[in-house]
Formats: sequence, C-alpha cells, structure tokens
Amino acid sequence: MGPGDQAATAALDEFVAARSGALLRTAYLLTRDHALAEDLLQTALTKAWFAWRRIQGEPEPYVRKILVNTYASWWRRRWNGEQPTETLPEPTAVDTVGDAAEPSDLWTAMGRLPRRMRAVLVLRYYEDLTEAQTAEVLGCSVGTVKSQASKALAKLRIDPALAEPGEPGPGATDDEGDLR
Amino acid sequence: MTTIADLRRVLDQHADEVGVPQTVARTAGVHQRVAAVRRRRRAVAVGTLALVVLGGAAVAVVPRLGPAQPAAPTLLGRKAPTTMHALGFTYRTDGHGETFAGSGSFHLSESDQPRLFTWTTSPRSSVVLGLPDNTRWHSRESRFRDYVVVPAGESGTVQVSAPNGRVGIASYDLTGAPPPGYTKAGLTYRSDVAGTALLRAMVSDRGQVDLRGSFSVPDGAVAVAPVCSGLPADDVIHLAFDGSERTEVSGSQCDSSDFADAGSHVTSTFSAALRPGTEPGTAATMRMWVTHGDDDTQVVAAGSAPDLRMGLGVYGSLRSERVGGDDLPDRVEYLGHTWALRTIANGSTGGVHPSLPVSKVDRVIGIAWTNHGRIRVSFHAGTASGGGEFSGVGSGSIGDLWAAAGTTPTVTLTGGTGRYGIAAYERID
Repeated sequence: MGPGDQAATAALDEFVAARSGALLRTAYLLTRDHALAEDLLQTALTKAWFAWRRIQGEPEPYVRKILVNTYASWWRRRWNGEQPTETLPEPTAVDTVGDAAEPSDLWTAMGRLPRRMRAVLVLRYYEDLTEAQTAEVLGCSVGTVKSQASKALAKLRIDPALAEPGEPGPGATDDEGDLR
Repeated sequence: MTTIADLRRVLDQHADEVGVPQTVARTAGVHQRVAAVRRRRRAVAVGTLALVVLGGAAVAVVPRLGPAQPAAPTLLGRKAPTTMHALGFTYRTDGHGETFAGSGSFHLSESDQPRLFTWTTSPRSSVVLGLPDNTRWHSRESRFRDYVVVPAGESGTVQVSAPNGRVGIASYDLTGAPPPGYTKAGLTYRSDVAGTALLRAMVSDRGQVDLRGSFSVPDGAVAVAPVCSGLPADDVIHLAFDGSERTEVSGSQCDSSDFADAGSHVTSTFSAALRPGTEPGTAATMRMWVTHGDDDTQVVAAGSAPDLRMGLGVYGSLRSERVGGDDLPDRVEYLGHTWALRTIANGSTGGVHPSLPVSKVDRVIGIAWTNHGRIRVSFHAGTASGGGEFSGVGSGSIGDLWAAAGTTPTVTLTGGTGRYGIAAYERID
C-alpha cells in the first residue's frame, strides 16, 4: 500500500465514522432490508475508495451517487468464481429488526416499485433533492426524473395495498397534495 | 387518502429503523472488499514497472524504448523463461531479475496492470513471498516452475526468502495476447473461467443496439457475464434469455473497463432450465438490446448510440457445494491460479469458534452461513484477517480470505442463530 493509498484509507475511515449512518438510512429505504442495505453501502464505499483521490470537495454527494446508481442496477459480483444472485435479492423473510409500528401499506407498495422509480422517490421525498439534483445523482435528464416520479406515484396509487374502492383514474401529481 | 406528506412520513419513519451505525465493522468490511477488488483487477493499459531493490544495492531499470523486447535474465545460472502463462493470459519478461542470499526485499511500484513473478533457487529450497497486501505465499517449486500474479493496483514491499539457499526472482508484464476463448475488438471471453466452460459469447459492433444469439443448455446451472460501455445516459440495456427478461442496466452504470477479461464479470446465475422442462442440449436464446428508458419496448434506432459496446458470455455448467446452507463454487481463481474446494467444516452459529485443521499448503477460505438475526463473522489465520457484520434473515457468504501454509484458519461467529460452513480451497494448477 503506497502513501496515496494510506491517505485515501485514512480519509475514507474518517468519512465512514462521520457519515455512513446517514447513507445507511438511504440504502435501507432503497433495499428495505437491513443486511442488503449494509451490503449496498459497503459496495458503494468500496467503489468510492478507488476514486477517493479524484473527488473534489465534499465526498458525500459523490458516495451517495455511487450508492443510488449501484442500487439501480446492481450487477452483483464478488470473488471470481463466486455465484452471485440472479437479481438483487429480496428478503427471504420479513426482517423484523425495527419494524415500523404501523402496518404501512405505503411502505409495502413502495417495495413493488421498480428500482429506479423507488430511487427517484427516495431522492425526491426523503433526501429532498430537487428534480435537477436527482437527475444529477441518477445520471439522467430532468425529464426522465419527472416521468419516473410520475409513473412511480401512479403505480403507488393503483397498488392493491393502497387502492380504495371508487378511486379515480390516473391524474396529475402534486407535491403538496394527494399522490394523484 | 394517501398524500405526498404521507410518503415523506413513511420514508422518515422507516429510515429511523436503522440502528446505531456499526462503523468499526463497516470499516473493516470495506477494507476487506477493497483488498478483494485489488486482487481481481486485470486492467490492460500498459503500465510502468516494477522491480526496484530496497537498500540501493541494485536497481532494475526499465528501458522499454523502441521495438526491441528485453531478454529474460539469467538468475543463479538459469535463464528465466521469456513468457509465462497464468489463467490463459500471457506475460512477457520485462528483463528484470534479482537474486538474494537467503532473504531480501524489493519495492513494487504501483501499476495499472498485473505483474507476474517467478523464481528459482540454488540449492533446492522452499520459497516464501510476502506480498504487499500481507499475503504470505509458499512454494516448494524452483526452476521457474511456479509463479504468483500480483494484481493491478498493488504496490509496496515484496519480501522474498529461501530458507535453505539462494533465490532468484524475475518479473513479467501482461501482454496483449488474448487468452484462449472468444475475442472481438479487444473484448475477450476466456474459454474457461474457474473451471467453467464458455458456452457462447457475443460482442457487438460499435454502435450496435440489438445483439442476439443462442447457446446449448447444459446439464446444470449457467452463469452470465455481460459488459458494456458508452450507453447514452437515459438509455437502458435489457438482458433476456429464452424471451424472459432477467436484468437491465442504465446508462450511468454502463462503464465496464475490463474488456480484456469480460468472462470474469459474472453477474448472474440461472438454474439449469431457463424454462421449465428445458432439456440439456436444446438451444436457448440470449439477447441484449437498448431502449430509451425502463418502460420503452422499442429498440432504439440504429446509430443512436454510436459509442456503445456490449458483450455477453454464458458459462456452464456451474458446480457448487452446499456450505452452511449457501452455495459455494467448487473452483475459484485467485492470484493467477485456479483453486478447488477441498475441505468443508459445518456447524451451528452462536458464539461458536470453528476452525479447520492446519495445512502444509496455502489455502483460500470461504465462509457461508444461514442465519436469523444480526451475525458478526471474524476470520483469522496467522496475520491474515477478515470478516464483517451482517443482519437480516437468510444466507450469505464471504470469500477472498487467505490462510497461509502452517496457519490455522479460525472463524468466530457471534449473534443470531443458524448454520455456518467454512470451505478451504487448494491450488490445482
């Protein structure tokens, strides 16, 4: 390990101690599983280590970008010869660690969203990023963010966990109002 | 009625379920992964080399100017080979070598390509190499019959010792010669990766947006290795077998750089039958194609992704062993060699301290478990260590753990309830 590697390692260790808790929350909202969230976060931090010397300014936005994009298309691979999973695995059983007090239908419905749509909702409504910032993180256009958010909310609206009898059809979304 | 405010509240509420950060375990886990990635790297860009003896006694210089190729050095009266082969790749002498009486060390400078080292002794002696990542490599071979590949990105001090004599060590650079397999425009799928045969590979022409092929279904599971680069930001690559879509990748993640060994990028494994009732020997289709966004069903127009390159390889049949309730492969590749699963120890988790017996040879270790609750896995073998902390329900595994000859691999599993297994791999090449 060269001097540059040692500096990167020390900087990453400091970053993990200070900020990895916040990133783990984002990872958990994306994966909805504690073990997968930890796996995703460590995968993202590992990728960040190799680019640490190239990061300009605060590393957290950069690491968050890696984390979200790794989640959005997680081609898992570990040691050469290991057999990764067919797709990002869903929990094999209900992870009861810290289950919410309420039987959240909305949380259940979010679990059925495609990964990129779920990522857009987490970035927009948990991280409170603007559409432009969300597009920057996901590496896509603002128009794509808008359409993904719109489709995600539309899917939530008609999800069996949330659909109410007599619900009207799809309509416009409103950040301050209904999912409709 | 569900509102955006409800959505924000649910996200905040569930984010709070995340407990106190386990930063120590997380940091250790990241360090282990970094070390594992560095071992795997086989970048193809030409780097600088290599062998600078510490202490100023001698310096290996690297004149790679002009078309003349350096000649292999003669060490302890024996001429080193001009080329060496590891996992199908060809390495060529960089002209450098050094001899040590009993023991010595040299500095390995950082490079973006792997380096191969081979040695001879006089008189015959065992050899121990201490690599920059603290791996201690043992060999009983001499006369340049054995080697070790140090992955790209590794740098630091390499210690060399031959307890019963003198040792001469020579260094080699990776060449651009493709290994046996399928190569097109610099993208290579090896014919064999970790003992698993290449069933079919296809590589796009630059800008091609729809890639189709087929392969003969084997009697067992298959692994797929897709790579890509140059996908426009908002486009998506879809991957399907026998008409059933399996995975996709978006533009920002389409950044594969290791085209020289695309076959090592296995990302998914499928059971033997892609469709129920599929018989071994029948043809299965495979397809990669590009659309604008996730939901678009239309392939983008030809020429709309001029920089796109795609490759897809299918390997099979995969062979694995059930270890600790999880599947571990029966072959792995590590430091330029192939290793086979030789020993398995199974047990139950919960404060147990299982171990494998000491061995006279170096081993690669994998640990697998099936667990309920948070589990912490710690591994030690001599000066080598690894591990991590995992939660949730289900199975998992970690690999890339090193147990040098003469050390006892010990695993500590705390927390949770379930099964564990330790697998030891030994060299077969």
